[in-house]
Amino acid sequence: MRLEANSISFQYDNGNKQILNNLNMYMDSGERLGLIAPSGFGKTTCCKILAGYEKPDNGEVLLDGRPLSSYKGYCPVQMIWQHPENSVNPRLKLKEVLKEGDGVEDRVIDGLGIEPEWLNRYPSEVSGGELQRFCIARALGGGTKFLLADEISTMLDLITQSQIWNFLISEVERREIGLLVVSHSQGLLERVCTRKLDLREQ
Amino acid sequence: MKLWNGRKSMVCLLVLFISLLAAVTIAGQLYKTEALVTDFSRKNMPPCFSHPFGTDWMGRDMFARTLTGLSMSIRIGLLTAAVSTTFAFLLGLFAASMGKAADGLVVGLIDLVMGIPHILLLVLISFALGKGFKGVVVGISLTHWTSLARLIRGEVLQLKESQYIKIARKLGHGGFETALKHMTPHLIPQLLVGLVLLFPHAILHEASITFLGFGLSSEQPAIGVILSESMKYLAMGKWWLALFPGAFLVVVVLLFHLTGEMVGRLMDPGALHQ
Repeated sequence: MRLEANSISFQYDNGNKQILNNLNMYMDSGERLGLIAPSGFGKTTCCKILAGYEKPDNGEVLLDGRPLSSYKGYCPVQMIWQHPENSVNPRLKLKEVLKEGDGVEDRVIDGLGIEPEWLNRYPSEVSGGELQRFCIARALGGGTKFLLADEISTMLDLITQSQIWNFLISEVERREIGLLVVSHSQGLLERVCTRKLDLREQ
Repeated sequence: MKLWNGRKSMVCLLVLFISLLAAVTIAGQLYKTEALVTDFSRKNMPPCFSHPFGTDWMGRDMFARTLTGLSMSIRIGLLTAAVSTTFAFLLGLFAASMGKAADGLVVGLIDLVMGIPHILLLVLISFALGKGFKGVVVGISLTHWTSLARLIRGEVLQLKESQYIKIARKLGHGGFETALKHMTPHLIPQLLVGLVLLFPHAILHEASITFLGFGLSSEQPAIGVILSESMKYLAMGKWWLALFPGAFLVVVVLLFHLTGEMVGRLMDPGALHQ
């Protein structure tokens, strides 16, 4: 499977500068692509467009040759957002959050180090790092073919970071999921990615 | 762990308030016949031991009349507030989550109902349905949902833009499912507040259309009827005719208000920190 962006351009409605200009990129299943650029160069915007949260002004996003918008129901391209506290409904218990995903396996839940006692809590009763694991688990449902990780480990300590990245690498290799990694940390990208893409060179 | 805490005493208080309201409602039903008994040998008596709230110009016991009236008002208020709130919830949700055409339709309907003076529409509906309990309840229910529906619509529009709702849609949840599972928990506190605020409105409007002669008949004394009837006698120094029913109406509304607030706080303790 291949996820590709064909000459996409994007500008937010508030009239700021053109964020993405004729961007062409692709990623294949099983590939781990690192996305680099300084702040404000459209890394998150790029993820949002690839996952279908925003419509590009020009160009199209294709998954397996078909436009991404033609996939109904569970979207095969899932994005993990930078801020977990905005990504979960504050009024749902965490076990409900896991149920939102497309049949999240116990292996994923264990692998991310989610403790059973957290499941009965509300999102405001766990820490940001603990919450982020739930967001990652939720995005790893059965139907996921591509995973876009937008700065997902920024708020974690180094031990937890390595635990989560090791798990994610083994999981995407096992299931042949394409992984897009956005990070400011050069070392992390060196360690995790198989290929790198700099938005400035586009 | 502490065995007794604020939450537990609040639950106790809540149970007490609800049973008080229920007791008044039931007691009013039991005093129904006594409230109608006229006895001209005891008319215009000020409060005394046998008639704690006094008697009126036809010798009816004001205590029985006040209780029956409160019971009637509580039932009308609760019923209409509940129906209006349900109406507002469904229409607000429908407007905000079913696309532009549905939104236009509901907003138009809200503007239409709000544009006509409440009392005029109330009188028309109540009169068309043959007045009485049914006319009043349907009339008030059909006119009081608008502002709450507008509030719910706004809230849903805002929720739709939030990240977790967008994520839920990408996780394959349909519009209806998201509305029910993700949005309803956010809307319930709003609905409860709306219900509580609607209650005194409903009672007052019931009183005013009854006063105009398009509501309840005078054998069904709701507080509004009692108060408007006592107006004439107030100037003659018969203060007890208005004081007790009026004061108890205020107490009932206050009890309702506190109950609503406590339910809200028990269901959503985090709201204090927001």
